[in-house]
Amino acid sequence: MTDPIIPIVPSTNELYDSLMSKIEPELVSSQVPLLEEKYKGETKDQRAKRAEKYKKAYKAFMKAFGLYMIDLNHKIGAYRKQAYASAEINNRSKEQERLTNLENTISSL
Amino acid sequence: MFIHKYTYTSVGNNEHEHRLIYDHGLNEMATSANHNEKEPNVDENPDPTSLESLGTAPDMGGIVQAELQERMQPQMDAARNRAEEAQEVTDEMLSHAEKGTEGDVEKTDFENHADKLSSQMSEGYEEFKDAQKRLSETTDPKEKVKIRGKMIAAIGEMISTLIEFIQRVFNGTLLDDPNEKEENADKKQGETPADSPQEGTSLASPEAAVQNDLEQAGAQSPEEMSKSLNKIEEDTQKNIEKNKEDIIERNETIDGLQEDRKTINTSLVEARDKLTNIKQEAGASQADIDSAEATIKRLEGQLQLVEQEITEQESIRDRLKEENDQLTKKAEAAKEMKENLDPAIEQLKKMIEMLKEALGAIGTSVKIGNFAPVIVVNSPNAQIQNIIGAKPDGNGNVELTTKDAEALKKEAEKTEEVSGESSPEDLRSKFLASAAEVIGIKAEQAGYHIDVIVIDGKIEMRLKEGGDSNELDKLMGYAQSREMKAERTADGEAITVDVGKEHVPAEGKESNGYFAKTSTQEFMDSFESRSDDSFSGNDLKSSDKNPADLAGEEDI
Repeated sequence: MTDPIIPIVPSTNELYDSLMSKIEPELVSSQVPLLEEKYKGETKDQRAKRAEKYKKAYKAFMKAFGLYMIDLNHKIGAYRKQAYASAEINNRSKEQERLTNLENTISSL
Repeated sequence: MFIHKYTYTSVGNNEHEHRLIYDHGLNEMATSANHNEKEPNVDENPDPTSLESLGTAPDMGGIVQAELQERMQPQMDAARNRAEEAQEVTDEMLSHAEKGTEGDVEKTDFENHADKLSSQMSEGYEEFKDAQKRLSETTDPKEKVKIRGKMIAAIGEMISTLIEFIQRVFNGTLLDDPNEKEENADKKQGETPADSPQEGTSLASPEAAVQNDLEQAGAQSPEEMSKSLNKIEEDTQKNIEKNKEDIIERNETIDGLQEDRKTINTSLVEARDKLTNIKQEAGASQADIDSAEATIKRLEGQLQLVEQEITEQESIRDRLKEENDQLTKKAEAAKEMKENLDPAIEQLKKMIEMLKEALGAIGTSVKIGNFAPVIVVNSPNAQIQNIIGAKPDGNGNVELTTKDAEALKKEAEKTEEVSGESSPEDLRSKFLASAAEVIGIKAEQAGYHIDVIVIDGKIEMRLKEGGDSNELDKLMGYAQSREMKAERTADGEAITVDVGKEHVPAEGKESNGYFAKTSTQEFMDSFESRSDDSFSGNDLKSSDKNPADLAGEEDI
């Protein structure tokens, strides 16, 4: 059995940007501080539309995040199962090896 | 449940106080965002639309992002923790299994190996006991796997420590400083009787010679080993003395022979001179010449024989001297071993008891999980067998291995098939193992805090950590009421019960459990079992218990 690989859990910021970049690129971390300047001259209607767009984006984001977490937790569950099984096998193998060494030591006395 | 209360300043210097309530790991989050409110009511239902309301203000993207990330954080932390926890557990299991296999030399504060190894043994024993206690307390299967791994590692450590202790007794390094480089020990440990010729005069090392003699002596205990070492030293000294006498005699013989050689040489010179004179005399007869030449030849022959004898005697004498050098070293080695062993015997005894207890807890247990090994320690070396209390398998085989319950069962079945019948000893062992199993389960069901194991042909019921001594009194009373001999062990923490037989009931009736060997059928038939009598055995017989179920119980 090969050693299981621990699933990578990204930082909150990385995950936010990764998911949000596919939903609303304007809302990724690097872009948010620029929004005020970018939309300096927008009208009230335009602003309301943008707000609505962001609102949808946030909802979409939370949905994407939920799905991502389901997938991540599934991977971690599988990893834990495999890791325990693998460790048990390795542990038994190491114990066997060690006991065999002891046996050799005893028989050589 | 965590309650986070925090304040931060974001875009436009708007101050927001958020109260975030979440249940770690359950994905249940509720958030309320209250603008310019200093003390929001946490008991009120949080507003699930607060995020959306934030989203309606597009210039507050930074705040919303922070809010989102705050929501994400606990879930991701939980996920990360779960993954890391699995990694830590598995790493720990592996590092524990590998512990002791690495050749790193650790600096210690101990003055000698004896103290260091004794301390090491105690640590292993404590680890084992601690793990044993934790195993009895946990119900988490993963934790059980982890704990069992630690128990086995602790036993491995204890065996390894004991072996090193014994090795150091043999090679005379027990009282050496553990922090010093062990060039001498390496050399000594590398030599064993198996590598050495059996002749006393040509053994590879004095230690190996002593060890070889110890094997022949067949000491049954450390004390006997000490006596054997004494005897080896005495016998070796006797041999040295005998050799010395022999050397003296040989030297005297050589001296005599050398005198003879001198005499012969003188005679030979005279005979040769005589021959020269005869030949120079006018009118010397041929008979005189022949006679002188014959004398010379005879003397030369004698000289040659004497010289051969001198060479042979010198060779024997030198071999005896060489042998005595080795015997002197052997006597010193035996003396050193004994000097090391005597003060170490008490330490050794304690170590053996610790290991015996740990091995007994595993080897005689009837609840064998798939991960639990049965360790059988045998050695063709009689000293090792006796010192570690191992039982030989009758064929001189060495066995130190791990076997799971299923493999043991198959092996037992195979053996029975081949032999067709079991010896009385085997039957008795099986009966006791079966009885210990049933009594142990019954005791657990009845709420006793004891471990039931088989030791020296008797069933021992030992209090678990924190168990009440009154339980032992009660069990002893039940045992005695069944005519069985029951006694407290010397440490007072257990009782031994001489379980003789199991009641064979009349058809249609239940067994009344276990009794003394001498109990009559009438007594057993009429005996009334009580529910907290762990010897009653009436609702669980070993034959009813599926070994696979036992393995599945994941207990040792």
